[in-house]
Amino acid sequence: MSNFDSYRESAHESFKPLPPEVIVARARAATRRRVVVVAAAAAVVIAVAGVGVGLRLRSDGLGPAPNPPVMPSPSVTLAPVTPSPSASPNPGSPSATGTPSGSSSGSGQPGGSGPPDVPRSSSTSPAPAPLSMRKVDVENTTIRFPARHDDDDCPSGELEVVDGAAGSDTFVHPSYGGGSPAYGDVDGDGRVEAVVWGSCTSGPGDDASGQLLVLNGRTGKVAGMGWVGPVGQVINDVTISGGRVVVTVTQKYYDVKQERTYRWNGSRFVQSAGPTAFPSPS
Amino acid sequence: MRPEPGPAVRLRAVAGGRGEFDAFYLAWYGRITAQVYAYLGDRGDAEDVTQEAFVRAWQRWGDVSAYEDPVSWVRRVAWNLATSRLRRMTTAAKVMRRQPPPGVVPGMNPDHVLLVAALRKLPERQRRVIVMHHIADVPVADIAHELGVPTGTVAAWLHRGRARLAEDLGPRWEVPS
Repeated sequence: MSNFDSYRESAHESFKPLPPEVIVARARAATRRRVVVVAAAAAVVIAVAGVGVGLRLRSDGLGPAPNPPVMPSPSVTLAPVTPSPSASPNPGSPSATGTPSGSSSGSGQPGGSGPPDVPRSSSTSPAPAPLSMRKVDVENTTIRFPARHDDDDCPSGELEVVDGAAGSDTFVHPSYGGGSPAYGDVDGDGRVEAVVWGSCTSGPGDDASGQLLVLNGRTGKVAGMGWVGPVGQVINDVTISGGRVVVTVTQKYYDVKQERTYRWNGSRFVQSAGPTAFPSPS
Repeated sequence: MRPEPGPAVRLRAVAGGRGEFDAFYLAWYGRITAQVYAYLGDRGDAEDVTQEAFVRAWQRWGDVSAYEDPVSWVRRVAWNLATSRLRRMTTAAKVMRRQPPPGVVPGMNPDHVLLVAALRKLPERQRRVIVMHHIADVPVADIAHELGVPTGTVAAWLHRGRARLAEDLGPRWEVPS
């Protein structure tokens, strides 16, 4: 039996869960806290507005936390852990509580006092740093395109996009009608995704053969998580609300508007609310 | 691949609801915490981020329970938290520590402590893929997808990481090749 086998098979016995009630209560408290934080932040905006100080709030209303810095530089994760309150009341046996290696290669981290977004470099082995999707120019970057589940004609895989075009037949734009992508956390992992508009001329349909595309920057590269909704819709508006992609579509050549909601099911986007088709015009 | 606590738990979890969440949480808390601990090397931090990940899972349990693999979602969230400095700013986590200890916890096997100590000496990405592959049983292809690198790169990191571990831990230690 290898050391890994032993660890895998029995290490978990040293970690006992708190009662589930505690987790559930904590979830409720966190939800309440969010509401309070947003209210407090709004109050601050009102307070400082008179002196002309700007304050950027998260548009998704999830509180003031910035998009978490994604991939750690080694010094972050290896940092000798600041003697935190976890040492004493933590439900662990004393022998296992201590940091097992005093000789780890981490350079000391100044207790989180540094600017939160400055990446630390490491000469040994920098992990791919995640991208903040809000800062990505989707018309000029390399994107890994997912396969379209209802259309095999569009290219997939990694393509370089220049001025909104990847080659002569694939296009990416921040949104259907111009303007910025919609931003928000659609899979609940704490990071912000961007909803953009992608199309390819080899697909079915005419000028409107595009489809909404959700991009993330989790791995340090821009990657498409998946396409959303049917191909070739007229999109009025896209928002991300409660972890869902909410799309307002208009029936082509008619004035019928519908709101359709899609959620990430772990592997692709599926419709979770709203009509799935337009009424047939009478 | 060795079975983790299993399909039965996963199936029940998929049904959604509080009872299912409890079963899911109780079945997986220790394993995910042990995986994060192998990566972070700090017990308190590992417990904090895993608890927080389960809190988030419950907040959106309707969705998460329907995922093909809710466990990997929780693990990924825990990992995200572990690798971000947010965990240091989470005052909420400290509230959790005031909960009474949940009974007697067996001390860590000394061999496991040595393994975690050796893991901490690896560069971050080698440690990460070693823990994911050899402790969390995630296939190489899935790791490559998650990290956005070619599978060959993951294989190379695994290889180098294992070589360093073998060197560090000595001949008494068996490291899979």
